[in-house]
Amino acid sequence: MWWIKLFWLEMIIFPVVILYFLSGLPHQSPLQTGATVIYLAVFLCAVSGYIYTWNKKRKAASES
Amino acid sequence: MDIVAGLLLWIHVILIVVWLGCDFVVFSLSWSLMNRELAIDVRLDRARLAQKFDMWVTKAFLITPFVGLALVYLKWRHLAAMVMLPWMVWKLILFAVILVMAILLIAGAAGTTGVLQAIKEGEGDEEELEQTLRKRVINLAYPAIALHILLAVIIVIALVGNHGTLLGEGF
Repeated sequence: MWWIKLFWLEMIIFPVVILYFLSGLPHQSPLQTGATVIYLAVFLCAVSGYIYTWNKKRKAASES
Repeated sequence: MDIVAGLLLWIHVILIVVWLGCDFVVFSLSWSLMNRELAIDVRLDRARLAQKFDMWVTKAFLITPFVGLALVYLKWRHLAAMVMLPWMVWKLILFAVILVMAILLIAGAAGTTGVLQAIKEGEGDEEELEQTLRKRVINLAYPAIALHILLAVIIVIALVGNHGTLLGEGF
């Protein structure tokens, strides 16, 4: 399903885009620092979620 | 605000309506999968129907942030504005939590139809499979409900923060 692949791609690209703009700020307010931390967490969740789903599908395929 | 920005704003709103509406359908269909009084074929059909609606949820969900970015660019002529305005940063933070919920939902829901198919075909212990299904649906209900609440809060923030540019002004 192409849209699932697109979903994972966007889950990785979108935090990178936001982090790019946040890192370009000369001075970050506490709110912007919070946004940086949470988008780093989203990026890590997206990468680990993709690996988890990929493993889940691989196991299901090998069992059938 | 010019016509393009007004049109994009309407598309943004419609995408959120489709996203939220279809997500409610997916939620209620998924919840009914636990009902063992229903025939297994009916439950399997509902799981497939939920998958079809989920496809629309995901598509709307994937397009929404990019339409939002285009709106930011059209309004402020620079994408960095989205990390400068406090109400936009609040929206971004809440949207980040929604992204995490969406990741949990997509990663957790994968294989639900397979569990029902296994019950239908009598593969493995039926009781164990039913418990797996029940646990999965209940565990996924929490991020789904949180996602709906956060989306409602984001809509309120957008309406309050964007009060100077109401939907009708583009036309």
